[in-house]
Amino acid sequence: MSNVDMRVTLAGMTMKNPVVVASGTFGFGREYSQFFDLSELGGICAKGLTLLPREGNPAPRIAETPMGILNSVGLQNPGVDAFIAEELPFLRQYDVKVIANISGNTPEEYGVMCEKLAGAGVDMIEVNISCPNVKAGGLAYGTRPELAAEVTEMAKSHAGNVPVMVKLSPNVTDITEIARAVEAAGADAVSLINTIRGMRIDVNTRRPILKMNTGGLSGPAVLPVAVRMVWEVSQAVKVPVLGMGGVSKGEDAAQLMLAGASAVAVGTALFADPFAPIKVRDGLEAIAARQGLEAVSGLTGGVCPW
Amino acid sequence: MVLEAGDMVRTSFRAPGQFVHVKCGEGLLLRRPISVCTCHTDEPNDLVTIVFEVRGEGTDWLARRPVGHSLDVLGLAGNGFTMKPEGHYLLVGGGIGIPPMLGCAQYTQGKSTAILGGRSADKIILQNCFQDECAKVLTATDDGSLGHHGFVDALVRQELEGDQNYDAVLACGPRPMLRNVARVAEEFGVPCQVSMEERMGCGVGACLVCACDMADGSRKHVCKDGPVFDSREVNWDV
Repeated sequence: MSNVDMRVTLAGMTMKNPVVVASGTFGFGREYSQFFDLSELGGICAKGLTLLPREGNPAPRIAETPMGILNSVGLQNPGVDAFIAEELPFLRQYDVKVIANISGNTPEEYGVMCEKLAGAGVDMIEVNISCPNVKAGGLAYGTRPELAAEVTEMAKSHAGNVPVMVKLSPNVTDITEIARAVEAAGADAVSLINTIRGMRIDVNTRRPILKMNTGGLSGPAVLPVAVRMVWEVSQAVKVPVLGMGGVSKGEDAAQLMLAGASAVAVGTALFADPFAPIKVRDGLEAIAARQGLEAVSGLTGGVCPW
Repeated sequence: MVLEAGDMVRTSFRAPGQFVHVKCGEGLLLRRPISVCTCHTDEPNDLVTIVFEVRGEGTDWLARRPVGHSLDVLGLAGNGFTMKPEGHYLLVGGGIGIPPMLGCAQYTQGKSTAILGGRSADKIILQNCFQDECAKVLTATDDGSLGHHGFVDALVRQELEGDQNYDAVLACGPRPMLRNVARVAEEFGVPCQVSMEERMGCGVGACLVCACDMADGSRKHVCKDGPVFDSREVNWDV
């Protein structure tokens, strides 16, 4: 197609291209493997795991909004042990980096999960301290720098050689404060943004659409917020950034990379188009080729601010 | 609306009761899940018929598509009703839950009984089609404007009392109707399958938003595990 080198490296993990699928939008890959070869992707952030299985929140769990969706799934998952036993072997059939995403109720739970996942040989661990849809842990860890640091330290000390990436919440006054705290605590990378808390109300019934009343906003509506936050964070820390939030085409991904991301994740766009990650990858390659870049990584941090 | 659907039926038909996931316009992110009414293999294109109600912006856009327009459709998705062509079924459809039952009726080649319910006579759609495909068609309306004055579960009771040979009750419609039909079927010891509805995201089982509470405390997903479930699996008390 072109001569652009699409490889990127994120905290020592080299991917064949910068496109990852975002946690919670891709399950454990089985469903979308009907549509395309998972080896086409740079990486897969698997559905968020907890130490024990969780059934998640009651339905309705989704509401459509202008150019976005709200969700309140609540970390439904089979638990870390079932992932290692049943899902990881499936993902390992493909030539793709596997990033496990974890959420804990306590720092100790993060530690236990990291130990199990590092032992099972995942390529990276994404520490979720920003889920807006669970009561314990979740967002509480992601909005207070000292707690975010504590969780990061715990994860790092149990993850062995597996790089730890911390997923940051946009639901804070200053995201760079949290980014600096997790970097100081040893994070190898940061990913952002998680969803933005939101709400939609049915004016006839006067009930919120979501059974949990509020949920997390994603989709094209959040892209400019993501670009701004990636830009701020990439100036505030030295660790690499995985950018995400509203990416549905190559140009969106290029914006996040120019803002400072080393790689990008595609999430909500999958629901409209199962082939979205492949189209984002091809669109990104076309942009890099058009701009005469030898490597797509040349986009990272290339924004020229006024 | 009839979709010329390439080899969709040849490659993904499992049973009546599946759905298609339709992209409705550019400005709306989510696809709309719509039950298949009937579908057939054909050359050069398989044919999929959908009957839907205009409920919002997406279905309004879809209803306005001119003949010959191309649509972006995922399908056939989900699991349909577990049934055999030679079976004897009591098919129950309520309101916009009526269309998928027609596919079930066709599948059993005229041997099934259909009970169609709605708020009023104008909500009982496709009655003539059911008459062509069923041994018997009964109707019920909330306001008594057509057939039995009341809910379909009274007719389900009447049928199960009169005929002990039904293999199963198959139902699609609003949740309260499904719950009542399931109760009657259970009372008579007749297996019952219900087609559930929930707000959906990906439509393929990855995003986990269309959760349905199960009797065992677990949450399954309408798009991938359903939309059809055994009525005894479902937790009706939520």
